[in-house]
Amino acid sequence: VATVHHYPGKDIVAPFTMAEVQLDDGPLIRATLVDVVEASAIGNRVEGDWVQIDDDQTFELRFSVDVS
Amino acid sequence: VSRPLQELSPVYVIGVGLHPYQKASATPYTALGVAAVRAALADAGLDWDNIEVAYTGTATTAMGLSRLMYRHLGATGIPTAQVENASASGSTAFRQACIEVGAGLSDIAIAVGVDKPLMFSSPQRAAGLHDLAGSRVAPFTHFALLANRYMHDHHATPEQFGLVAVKNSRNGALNPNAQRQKARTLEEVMAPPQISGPLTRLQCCPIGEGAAATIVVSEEGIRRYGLDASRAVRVLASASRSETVYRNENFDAALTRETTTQALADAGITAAELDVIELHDAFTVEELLYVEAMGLCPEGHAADALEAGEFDIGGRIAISPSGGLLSMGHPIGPTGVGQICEIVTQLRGEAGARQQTGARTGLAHMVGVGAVCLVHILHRSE
Repeated sequence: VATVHHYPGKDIVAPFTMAEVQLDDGPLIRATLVDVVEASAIGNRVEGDWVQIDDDQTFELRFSVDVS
Repeated sequence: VSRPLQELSPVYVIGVGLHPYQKASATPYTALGVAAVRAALADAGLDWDNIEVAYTGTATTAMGLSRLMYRHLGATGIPTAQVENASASGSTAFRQACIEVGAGLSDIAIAVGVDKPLMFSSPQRAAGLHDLAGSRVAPFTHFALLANRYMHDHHATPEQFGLVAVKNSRNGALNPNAQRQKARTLEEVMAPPQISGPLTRLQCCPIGEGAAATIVVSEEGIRRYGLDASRAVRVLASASRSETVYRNENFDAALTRETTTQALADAGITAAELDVIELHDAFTVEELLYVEAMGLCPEGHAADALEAGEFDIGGRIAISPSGGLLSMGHPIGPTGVGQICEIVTQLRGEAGARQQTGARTGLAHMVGVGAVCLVHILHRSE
């Protein structure tokens, strides 16, 4: 998990958090973490959700800590 | 059949030269490169007319840039080529020069690195590839993720990463060719701006401009031109690898481990016999990852070894006495060649205030976008 403070891109505003996510099926991916809380630490379980990122029908898979 | 460099004819570095690394300026790349080449020629006691082939490591300036640069020295008709291999472009140019001389194709070759930060391209963008992370995982965020992983796995602290920059800034302050020539305290290194994860600005290398040159010769070349053999430094090994499938392993460390293992085996030495190393410390965490991957200390112990001064000039093994990428700078094309310049200077005992006493064997390590790794081992006999 790493919080990015410097980002020149226009698709997201810094600071934001990126994480390495180990999927249940094995692959390791990198994705944006949302709703970051103290539990957003290495080793904690996360779940994916489709987040609408603009007014069009554009959705992005982002992850947040599984609080269930 | 794959053969190591050591099975070819002996290859020596006989001349090194640099144009200081610096922030982007109005200085043309031709002036940067020519200054480095002339310095290397003077160091070797050679003229440009003696050079039989030239490889130029470059990645961010212009297509086919050698032509304009070498015109200033004389269009002698020799083979020239640009070598692009991301951050390892200069290291790869040096390897090509070594292969050319070792194979007996030439007796005197020059490897030059030159760049200005004029154009950066992304292969993913060029290929039209998209993924979830996209440009949000810039190199500093890639290494911030690794830094946080390292802290989690080994109970390291952000300040221990900061100590890498403190050490290398101390070394860079002794190097007139370094882009950052100011020794920094831990407080200064840890001060904002925060870039990504635990990495602050001074834990990230500066990308600027500069040039470096090394002249590689055969034993016949030394004899033919009456060169000073006592200042010749033998290239013991040149290992070059690209990535394979590492599954969930840290691929940066794995690729460095594989390539260093190959280079040490080719050179017929162990890591414990190294006196000085220049490594790819674009971000502080890399130094800790790579010294462990090279076998210089057990996994998870590099931060403690660093704190104990083992990697200082005068310590067990001097790591990045030039200041490394963090302080000497990372102008891309020149960086790998500049590492060879520093190792040669150290092995000759000519490094002045940043000299590692008694250095005889040195290693230069570069990675290129995490996909390639080059390791060279050099040695100077008594």
